[in-house]
Amino acid sequence: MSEMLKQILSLPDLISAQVPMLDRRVREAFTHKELLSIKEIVLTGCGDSYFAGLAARHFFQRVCNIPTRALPSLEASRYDLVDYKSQFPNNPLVMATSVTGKVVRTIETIKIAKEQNGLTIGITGNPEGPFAKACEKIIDCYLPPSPHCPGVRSYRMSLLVMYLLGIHLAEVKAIISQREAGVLRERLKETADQLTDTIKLSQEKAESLANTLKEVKYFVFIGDGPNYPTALFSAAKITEACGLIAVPQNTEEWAHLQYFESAFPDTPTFVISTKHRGYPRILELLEPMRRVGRRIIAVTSADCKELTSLADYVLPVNSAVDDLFSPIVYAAGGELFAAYLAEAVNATYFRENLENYKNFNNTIYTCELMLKSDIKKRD
Amino acid sequence: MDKPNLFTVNVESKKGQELILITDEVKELVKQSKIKNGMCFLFNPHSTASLTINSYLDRNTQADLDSEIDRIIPTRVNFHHIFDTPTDASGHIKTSVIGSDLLFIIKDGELLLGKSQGIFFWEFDGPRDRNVIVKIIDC
Repeated sequence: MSEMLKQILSLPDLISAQVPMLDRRVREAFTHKELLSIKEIVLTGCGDSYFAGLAARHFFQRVCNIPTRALPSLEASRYDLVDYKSQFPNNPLVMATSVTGKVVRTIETIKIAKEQNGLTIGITGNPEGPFAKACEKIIDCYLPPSPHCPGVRSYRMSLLVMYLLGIHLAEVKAIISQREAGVLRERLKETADQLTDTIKLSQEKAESLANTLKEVKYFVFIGDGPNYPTALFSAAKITEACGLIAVPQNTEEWAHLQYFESAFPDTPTFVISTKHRGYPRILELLEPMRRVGRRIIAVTSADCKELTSLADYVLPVNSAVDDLFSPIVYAAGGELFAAYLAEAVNATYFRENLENYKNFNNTIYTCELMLKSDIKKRD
Repeated sequence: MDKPNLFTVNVESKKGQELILITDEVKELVKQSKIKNGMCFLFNPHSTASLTINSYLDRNTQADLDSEIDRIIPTRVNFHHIFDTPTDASGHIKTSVIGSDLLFIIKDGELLLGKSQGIFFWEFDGPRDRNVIVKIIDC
């Protein structure tokens, strides 16, 4: 069994074990005074860490009623926070994620946020690293080291921390009662069982699909709302695991761009959808997708009958998944497919077997950290 | 056969803070116990709720109690207990000040209560499902 697959199969146990521990850390991270002073939130990071912020953003807005934006670290540091100082102390709350604890651009974001009087918290698996040292507060997400493969566990850890903070923030702000907060925590924990069921439902189908599509070099993933980042995450897993081209796209934007692609008419197009806000638009797009020859792979639950009946393949998802927490579970289809595709094409994760990647692998990470004055000098 | 003497009163609070009258439920348990002379001990196993005795005749008395406990122990944002909510933190203090148990005398199968006295469960951090343990002792 491949390392990536092993890690995917370990996700339900990871969630069950980590929710209680992370919940305690999250609840002890902030004073009530700090939580009640939060008027806006910025979620940031690079790669999967950014996607996790995009996914959790909706929770903060819908449940906590706090304006929340998710930005890649470079945008957050050099184009957003640097130009904007809140009139309120400790604002915005900047919640940044760096699993390795060494990502320079995310450290830069934290430093800029502090220069602008924001309140900073880091989610990291490296509580002693430079990122953790830069943050005012951290949530320790350390996991025992495992062989290097496209990250699936760290993505769930980041999501869990953000959801748990959102739940706690909502109860402290008295938007929801403690009983309702308890129900939400239980529903979050239930994603472990939903993930177990989803893996059971889709694992063989993902393997079979990967073998069917092993000659394909180009994939498209679409989603919206909390599952637009699921499309980003799923596409990233294909590129990381197999080195192939995988393009994530917002559901609506597909109609404005990928619809016109004619180079590969039968491009496998993964449609990731719950039965919520974006679903009617998904249904409208299925006919044009078929008309231009796309192979449609639905990552969805059985109750989305219109979608499953029009798709060429279905990677089924458990039907009980709460839309708010759906990114935790809906990512399973894409990551399982990526893991099996890597096996089918005999790929080495992150191209670590190729000389030009191996020899120059580290140079991309050597980059300059800029503070506010450095950034402003370039205007 | 031993007479049943350990009971539970279930209480479902609907608000963040409220007084819930449980006198009738306790009287019914005394009756069920068939104990004619003894003691009735009430214990509240929660750390953000209390038991108290006060007048049940005018609901404004309960409103006064609620507002006065808030005046004495206001909900603040700088409690040390940050694990839950500010109202939870103040609820812990209110619980210690008001207390978690009550003791009554049973005479001729009846609770010896004053005419206007009622037994109240005082919720400080609801809404929640709560319970009160009742032990009735023959003596």
